[in-house]
Amino acid sequence: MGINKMVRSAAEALADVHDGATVLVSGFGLAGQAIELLDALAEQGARELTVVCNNAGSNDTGLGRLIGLGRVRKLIASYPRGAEMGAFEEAYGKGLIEYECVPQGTLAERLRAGGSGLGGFLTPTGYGIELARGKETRVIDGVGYVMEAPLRGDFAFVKARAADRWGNLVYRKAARNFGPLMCMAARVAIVQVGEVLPLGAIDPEHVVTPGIFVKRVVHLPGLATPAEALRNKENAA
Amino acid sequence: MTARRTREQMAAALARDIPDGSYVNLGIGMPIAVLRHWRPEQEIVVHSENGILGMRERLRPPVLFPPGPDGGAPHA
Repeated sequence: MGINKMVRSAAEALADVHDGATVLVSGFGLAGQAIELLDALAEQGARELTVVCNNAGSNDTGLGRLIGLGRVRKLIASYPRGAEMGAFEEAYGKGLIEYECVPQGTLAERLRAGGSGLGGFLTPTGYGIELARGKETRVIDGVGYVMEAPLRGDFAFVKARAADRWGNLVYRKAARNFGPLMCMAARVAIVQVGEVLPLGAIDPEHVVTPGIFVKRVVHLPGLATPAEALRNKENAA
Repeated sequence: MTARRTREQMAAALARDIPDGSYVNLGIGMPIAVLRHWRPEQEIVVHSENGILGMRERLRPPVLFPPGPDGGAPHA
């Protein structure tokens, strides 16, 4: 079999994540967050991680759990606060974690620049305020811009709806969010999917992330979406 | 004196050097001769100048509804 990105388990997929690695974590809140991969990373034990994520995880699962266990040295995120992000707030309050604040659009574009081999870009976001301190600026046609640097990762943890064995991906609605950018910006993109489709079953016009950007795929069938899990919990209560 | 190889012989030798499962960015011109020498069952993904990821051999004319030009003018 020429190209086969499938690996048997989450543990196998992330066995080589090393101490000090930069890990790109997709997700907008829980939507698209690869909870099971992140939980497997907690078991694996890598420390001193730099994590790039829109948020700071939810409660004691996934990224929230990693932060709570003290595995994350630095978080690069746009919005790490909120009702469910207590683990980050506690660690930050105690000075146990470093935080770099990046506006959401800048975060996305920095990942795109990293994945596309660009040296950075000029954005008006942040010009003239604290966020731009220490950064190069330019004024073009009367508008001020801040030079932002590319972001790359050693690994990306991404959740998609389905894959084929070449690693071609389709996502589920807004759970797509940072997934395609992070697959491009990481040296090793690891993807968990609910469904594996035969080669050719995904119309080439519908492939969102081409397999060339994906190194490993883990099939984790039967998982409820976060919203479904919450509804199940409420119904059970 | 070494015998001169034909284009097809060079392309065949090149095709043999590329392992199954490779991604190949293929330049336009002589390099595309290699496409004829990979067996269909080999999973070699070719990235072409026109943006196709997964290009295979050129279509032979006449092409009634060409999917798009490749960088070397005929249709992929």
